[in-house]
Amino acid sequence: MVDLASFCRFSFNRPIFSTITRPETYNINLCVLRMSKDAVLRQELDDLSDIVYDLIRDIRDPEKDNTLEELDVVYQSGVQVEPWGEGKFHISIEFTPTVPHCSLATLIGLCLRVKLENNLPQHYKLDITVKEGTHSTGPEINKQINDKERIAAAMENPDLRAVVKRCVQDPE
Amino acid sequence: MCARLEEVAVLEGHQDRAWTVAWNPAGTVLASAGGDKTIRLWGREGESWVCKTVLEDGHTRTIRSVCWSPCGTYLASGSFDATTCVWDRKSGDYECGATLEGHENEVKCVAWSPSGQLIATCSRDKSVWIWEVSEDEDYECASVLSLHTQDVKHVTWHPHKEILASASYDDTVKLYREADDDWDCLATLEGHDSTVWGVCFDQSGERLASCSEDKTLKIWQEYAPGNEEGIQTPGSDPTWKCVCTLSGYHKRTVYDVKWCHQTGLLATASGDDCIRVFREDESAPDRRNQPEFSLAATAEQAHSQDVNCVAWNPKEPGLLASCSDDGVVKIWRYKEEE
Repeated sequence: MVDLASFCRFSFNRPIFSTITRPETYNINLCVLRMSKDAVLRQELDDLSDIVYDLIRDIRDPEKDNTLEELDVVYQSGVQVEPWGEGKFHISIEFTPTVPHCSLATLIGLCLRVKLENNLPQHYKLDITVKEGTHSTGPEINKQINDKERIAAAMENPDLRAVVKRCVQDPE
Repeated sequence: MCARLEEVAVLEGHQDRAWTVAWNPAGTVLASAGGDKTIRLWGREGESWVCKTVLEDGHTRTIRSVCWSPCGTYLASGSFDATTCVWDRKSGDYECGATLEGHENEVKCVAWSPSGQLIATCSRDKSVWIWEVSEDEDYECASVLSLHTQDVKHVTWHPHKEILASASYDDTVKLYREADDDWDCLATLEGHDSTVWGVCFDQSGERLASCSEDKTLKIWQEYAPGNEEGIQTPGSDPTWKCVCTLSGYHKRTVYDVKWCHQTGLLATASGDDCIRVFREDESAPDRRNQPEFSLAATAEQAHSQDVNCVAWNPKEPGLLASCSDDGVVKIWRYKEEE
């Protein structure tokens, strides 16, 4: 899909139509129509990816007085958005803990999820992972931050809830 | 032969995600509960389904699981507030008559044994508790089983023996039975690659189905000592073997699986928003050791978000309830057409 969309943009930028002879026009036009539909979808996905990134970049680190973006914990390329059935999206976020034994990695995962839950009206499926090889217990953390039952329970814990709230509230 | 799931009723009222649905033994009342800390009881009024009662103030956090007593008089609810409430309607209205306390943190599932004399609960504290129900409605802890290495997600009883099954975040299913005045693990079922969210017995109790975050469904067969297949068993206990894995159907975590004891159909609830019904192929050459299941019906986009639980009506074959993160409870009818 990415390839098709980028090809489509490419074709819009080049005067390829001028070289087309008449009998082929019909077919080519259909092809362009289909591609532009894909291009529209791609644009929608890119836009949503930007929205997601804008939401998470300003989340504050639970310990330091910096945002996750400033600490390179989150980055634009770590956000991927794909279509998920009709009118829904699949969002995946990869992040890099500041140190390989970071004890707050699960809390960061929780903040990412809560921030999207509170601000993103679209129907989406979300998977959050730590970048491979950047944490000593990566698979365990991934399992925990994607277990919705644990997340739901964690968010009913007043102390944890307060910490998360402090991290995800909008910057003044 | 093709089949489909026809939507019978859409029940709205929960103010948060709905985690659980359970039919009373008569199949006339459906209980649902979830993040809004309430239990809703739904019943038929003429052709339609309506909310008859809302049970409140039993729990201070999410209600994760509800279960009826086999006599249908009591309803047990397990909550993230670490307690289990037992509701009765002696005064006419449902009231929380007893609270079972002991778990360190979230209770994830509660299951009443078929005899009505035992209740099992499980928790994030990695333990399974077995409670004895005395005649004067006292609930006493008979055993604490701390054999899983992680959260215990689900517990369910054998349909006619006092055997309990539990499913866990540690990727395994464990079976327990009473021996020498205490409860003990009789088998550990390993095979799933991630959290096992649900487990259920078929009508015979000789088979189990389990569902997991690994997006598969597994069917396990019991082999008693001296079985004709020659499968080794540990002492006088039976052994359980995975005889079928259903993969490639679910696109995300399978949160629940239920075996209909009347029709033999298997229903699943999944994080891909779909409900699926699987049917065993009765013409398979070796049903016991190599059963074959096929997808009989799918309710695509059954809910707008994750489906958390499904429940077959115990009296009306093919009637299925479901609930979801979208807060909605639905009732479906499985229909086969020639």
